[in-house]
Amino acid sequence: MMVQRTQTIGGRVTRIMEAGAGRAVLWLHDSPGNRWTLGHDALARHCRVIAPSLPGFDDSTALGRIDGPEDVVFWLLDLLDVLGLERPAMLGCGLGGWMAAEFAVRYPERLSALVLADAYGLQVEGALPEDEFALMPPMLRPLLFTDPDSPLALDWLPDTEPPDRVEAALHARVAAARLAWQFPYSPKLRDRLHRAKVPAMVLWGDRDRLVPPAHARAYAAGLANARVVLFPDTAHYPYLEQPERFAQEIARFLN
Amino acid sequence: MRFFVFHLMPWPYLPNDFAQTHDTAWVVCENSLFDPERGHALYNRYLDELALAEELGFDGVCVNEHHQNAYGLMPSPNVIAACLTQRTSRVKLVILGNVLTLYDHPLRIAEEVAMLDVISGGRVISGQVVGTGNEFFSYNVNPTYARERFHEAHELILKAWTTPGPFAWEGTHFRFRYVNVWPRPLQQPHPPIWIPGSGSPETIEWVAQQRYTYMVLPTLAPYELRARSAEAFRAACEGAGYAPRHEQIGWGVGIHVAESDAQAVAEYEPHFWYYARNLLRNRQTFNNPPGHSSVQAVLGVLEARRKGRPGAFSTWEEIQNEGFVIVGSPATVRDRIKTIAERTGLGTLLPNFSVGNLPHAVTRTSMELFAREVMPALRDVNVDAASQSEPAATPA
Repeated sequence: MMVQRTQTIGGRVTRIMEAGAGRAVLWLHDSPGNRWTLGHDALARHCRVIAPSLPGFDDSTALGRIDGPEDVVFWLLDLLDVLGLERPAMLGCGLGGWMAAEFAVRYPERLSALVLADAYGLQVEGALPEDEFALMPPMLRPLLFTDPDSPLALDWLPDTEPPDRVEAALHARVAAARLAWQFPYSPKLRDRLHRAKVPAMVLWGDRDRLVPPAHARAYAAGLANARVVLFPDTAHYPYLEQPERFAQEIARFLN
Repeated sequence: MRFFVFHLMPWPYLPNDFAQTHDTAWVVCENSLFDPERGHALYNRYLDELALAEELGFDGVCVNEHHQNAYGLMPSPNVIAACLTQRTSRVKLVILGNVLTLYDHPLRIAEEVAMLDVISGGRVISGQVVGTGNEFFSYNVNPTYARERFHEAHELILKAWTTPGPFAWEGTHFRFRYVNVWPRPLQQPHPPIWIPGSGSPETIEWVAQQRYTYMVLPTLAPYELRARSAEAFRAACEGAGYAPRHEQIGWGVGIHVAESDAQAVAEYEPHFWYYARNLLRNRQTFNNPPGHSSVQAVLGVLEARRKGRPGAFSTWEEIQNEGFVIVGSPATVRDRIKTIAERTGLGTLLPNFSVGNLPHAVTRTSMELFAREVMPALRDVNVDAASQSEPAATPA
């Protein structure tokens, strides 16, 4: 059963969703913001899933001087301190994966494991991620989903957000753009990956057309001893399209 | 009233099937559609039209800045303004405006505008804008900093013009050890500032507080929307403790004049549709990048958009009846402007004659008719007292 609360982290009121028991997994969300999914439910059957909203995603007026990934890394240090998390596993998806990688190269001793799924963050020649801020939903859905016309895809990224989601979606979009505008990577991150001396796993949808699988190979090449799992017939969101398998792969890796 | 000819310098040679084959005339609209040979003739034709404005007795001419698009061919309005310093000797040269957010060196804008002011003998009006959403894509400027960058650049430019240099500037977005702009502007303390807006309450409030001139300037918007913006500006000025001068309220609008109403519509309509259906064709994402306007403002716009906006309208009757443009015989146009002026207190009008692919000869005739048969009758409408000539505000 998922429980939601707010806590002040680094001066920002932060929404945190949590479910499950056992090994702590800090789940850093992707550009659309902090949404609880079937993948969260599935993973919470194996471990304790803690899903905080990254700074500004619920309220972009609170972005303040979050100007880049390093500011998020320091905020994550605050988060670990306030929540009293001793060496959790960190799972980052998409934009959240980039933040997780930035954290892991600086403070690997604060983590027990790193899991990246379809993550931004690396500059890979010839594989610039598509511009999520330039494309309209009907143009984006085929990049993000194997079946862009499925109820899943149309619910996750509708042509227009329903009234009860529109404000949250706008805030998340601003916060995502602050970090990931046009070039969602840090040019130096690739050369720093070897510093993330922590067990790592890289999960990727083999049909992700937002962040092509070339980025999975680049992460795998840079991280010491990373395990790579490519999900067949899956695009940008393995935790939406393959929630059970996604959870099982992570659970097997962590145990 | 005073009158300034506003030119967009549109690209008039898009293929006939453009709207069927393209979803935007901006950012990613392929530049192979620009033909430099035709461009050469076109730029010089457009400069002729702006120079003609002086001959015909207009008070000024306006140029503006947009990047990587077919809508307007002035990525550098200062280049066009520089040409005009040599083609004109009397009219005000309005740069409407420089997109302050795009440049990591706002001092370059301070320098160029000061140069233009000195060269032109103090004829420059400095329009300053955040820029359309498109420009943030074209120039890779993070739109979530749009307002911060605009305000900091604005303060820096004003200070560079008014405070003896050198001084140091340590801001959030800009840092300069040595601010010491040569030349200083000829107009003292600095050229007048005009701020165009499309009705955002934040902009209206700020312009009123600064006592700048506010331009209601989505060049295509229904009359009611423009009128409400003008009224909101008047209210904001009164809230700031003063009554705005007529000249402080400006209005950019498409205008076409011919001998009769029927002839005016017949001449104008096909070229208006070229503009509306091709040049304004755009993706919502390019127009509205995240953070370019506050989330609250976007929610307000989404609400307002349920009423017809560019792209949604489809008939000429709608365009005419809702007052998107002013088209007709001299008497029709004159009466219409008079009505608008009475309601809004408007004292500065920015007619845009050269819509879409309107041919030069027709544009010229329309400008001549306007100057001869419309403008004189409106000269005495909404005139400010002589003591209230355009003041230059002191920086905040």
